[in-house]
Amino acid sequence: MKIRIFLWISCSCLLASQALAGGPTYSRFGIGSLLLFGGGRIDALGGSGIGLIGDRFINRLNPAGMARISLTRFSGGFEYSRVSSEDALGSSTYARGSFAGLAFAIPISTEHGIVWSMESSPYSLVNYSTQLNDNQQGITLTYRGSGGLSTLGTGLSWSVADQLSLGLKLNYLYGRTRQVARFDFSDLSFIDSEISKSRFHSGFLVSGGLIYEGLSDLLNAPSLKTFTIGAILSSPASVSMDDEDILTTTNSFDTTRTLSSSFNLPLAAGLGFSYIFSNRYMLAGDVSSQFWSSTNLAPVGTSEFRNSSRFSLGMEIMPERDIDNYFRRVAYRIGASYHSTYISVNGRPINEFYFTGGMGFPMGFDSRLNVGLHVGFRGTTSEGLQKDMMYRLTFSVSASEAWFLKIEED
Amino acid sequence: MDDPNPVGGSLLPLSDLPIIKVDTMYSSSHSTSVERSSTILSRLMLGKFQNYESWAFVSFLLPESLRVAVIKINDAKIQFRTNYHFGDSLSPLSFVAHRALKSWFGDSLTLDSLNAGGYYDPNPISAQFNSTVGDTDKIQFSIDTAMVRSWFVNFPDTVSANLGVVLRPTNTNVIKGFMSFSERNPTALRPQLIIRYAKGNDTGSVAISAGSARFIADISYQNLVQNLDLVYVQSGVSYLGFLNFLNTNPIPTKASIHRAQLELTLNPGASRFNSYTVDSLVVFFVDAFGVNPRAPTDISEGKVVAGRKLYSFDIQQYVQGWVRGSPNRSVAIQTYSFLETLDLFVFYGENSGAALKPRVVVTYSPTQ
Repeated sequence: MKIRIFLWISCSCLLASQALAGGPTYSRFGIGSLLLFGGGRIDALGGSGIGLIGDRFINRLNPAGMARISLTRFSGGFEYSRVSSEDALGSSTYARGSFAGLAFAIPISTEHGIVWSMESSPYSLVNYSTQLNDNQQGITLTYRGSGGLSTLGTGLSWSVADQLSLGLKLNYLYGRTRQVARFDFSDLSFIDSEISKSRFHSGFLVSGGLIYEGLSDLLNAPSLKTFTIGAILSSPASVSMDDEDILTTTNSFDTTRTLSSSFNLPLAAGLGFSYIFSNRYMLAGDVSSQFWSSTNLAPVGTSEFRNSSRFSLGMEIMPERDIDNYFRRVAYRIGASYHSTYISVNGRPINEFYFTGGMGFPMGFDSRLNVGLHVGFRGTTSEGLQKDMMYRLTFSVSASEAWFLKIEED
Repeated sequence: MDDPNPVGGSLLPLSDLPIIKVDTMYSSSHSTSVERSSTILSRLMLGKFQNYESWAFVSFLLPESLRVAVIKINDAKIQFRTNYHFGDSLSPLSFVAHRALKSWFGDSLTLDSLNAGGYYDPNPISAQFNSTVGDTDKIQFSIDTAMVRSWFVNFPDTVSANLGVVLRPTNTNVIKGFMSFSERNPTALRPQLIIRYAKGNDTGSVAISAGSARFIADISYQNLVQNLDLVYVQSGVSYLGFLNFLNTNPIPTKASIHRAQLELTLNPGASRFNSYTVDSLVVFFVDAFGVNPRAPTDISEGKVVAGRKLYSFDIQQYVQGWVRGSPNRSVAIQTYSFLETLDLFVFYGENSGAALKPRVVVTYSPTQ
């Protein structure tokens, strides 16, 4: 099993390195497109996961959701995305592949729901490319953006009571974004050059969560016995930014500017629920928001920051266990989400809407290969804007091992 | 998948879209100074014209096979093949030959140091040569046979005895050029030492066409630079024109320089060319240690623009450093044929009108 894990991680990294450049220009603004990554299962549920708790997955949205984990668990994945962008000038299609995070969760005390986790997750993505040709002057101008932010986090869950679990996570937010303008001249007497503006971000943020499973007792409603609610809160954070502008020509390399500054990553909060009915169907929904209108990050161009919100809903046909029919041991998931993103451009808010679907295929004991599909659109072609059709295929593995557990002998 | 195209470009903030601008910066000052070189030359120049004066030096590599056999030198002549003139081609060339007493290699050797004494025996070893010489003629002049014999006799104990011959011009109206020992020249047209010798009753002759040669030409700064407002670039001596750009306005400090063309406008009235002129110039970067011969250079052949002869040089690499604060904002202009002609290029200086003065046309993009 350990060899399989190693091979899987190696393949993920290899495939991620073959990413193709290009994507929506909206990722130029702010710190890029926020990914709101929750893991393979949650992504297939439209991103709904704040109220999810269970033994067989690592909840990347709500650390309290790990409190039921009884075996050392890890998960990680790879995604392939394809974006077709359209504006008044035409359309273009780009694709990329990338590593989609890695997480470990190690139970310390199953009796008290104490689980320690470590994870690396993508936080935002900058990936765009556009090219302008001035045939009269013989110049090709290529503008591209790349990079993004990631988190390295460690968290702890604790079941403080039978029906209440809490979680806390400390995240190191880091990553470099880069905007590059390249000049290519057809006249060889001109020197081609490239202006690269890169910014390294770093900062710490703390997020906490809770999951409450006692609503049926509280309301004396037995039908809500499988109803859970969850909440998360992510602290504001001061994120430092180290800027470096580099001018590169065919015969020189010159750092033209360095600057250190910081900005406030705003508070984020969310509420969610999950409900299991007929013993086989699970419904989950989330509402989350981040208060970007309070940030002091300077907007660029005609963009502005606004509070972002995401509404998501998902359903899972839960797999059956101890049954011979393979397809009944597969988990089936669908979901949908509406995301009013944190930017508006040319006075128009940029919103996303997408559908998701996926399946979780059992692989051996207590392991699962999750395959997800995400289809959605963002923006509009009016007001000089751009409309993106987004397709994302994700592959992730969630598996467990009986590590660090003391086996009691008879 | 598509290559990048204009889709999405209109969304980018203007600050991400560097514009391309074209501006001109002008030279703040100029100077002219001599930069001598003893690089192997393909031409020897000898004579005087106006304030120009050029001496020639030649030594022959004697064949070892003859040294033992030679007993008596009956006759010794030096032959040159003409291939250039500067001045009045119909005027006679005259010169006398002297025995060289010191090595005449080295960049620091000047006509002043030659005349200070010690470099040659003041007693001529030839009669004065005086004749009108065509541009493809061969000339011969006899030299002292005793001196030639001494070159053989002293070999190999005192190699320094064969230091060759110094040719001192005595004419006034022309400088003639001759083919040197350069491999670019055909062997038959290189300088030759023709010896007739006798051993007992036997006689023989030999023509030696291997050796070393150079010339030292000079004109004083005062005689060359007759108008301080002009930039002088002189071949042969050779004087370089230096152009300084202390002020890089209006180019911003943080700019990507796509192209920088140094443009010099020729003052044809002050320049001096002839049918042998090599109409090309070279630009050098000037660093803290002076002219940097290893720095990339650009050659300009000149072109006529709006009735004026304009020489353009690509100095993008220099200007990129200047706008970023490099303290050495100078370039040096040298003739392409600085070792082989006496061409004089004169350019308008910074006090001339905007259309004439030295300038750098810069195509750039502000990076911020």
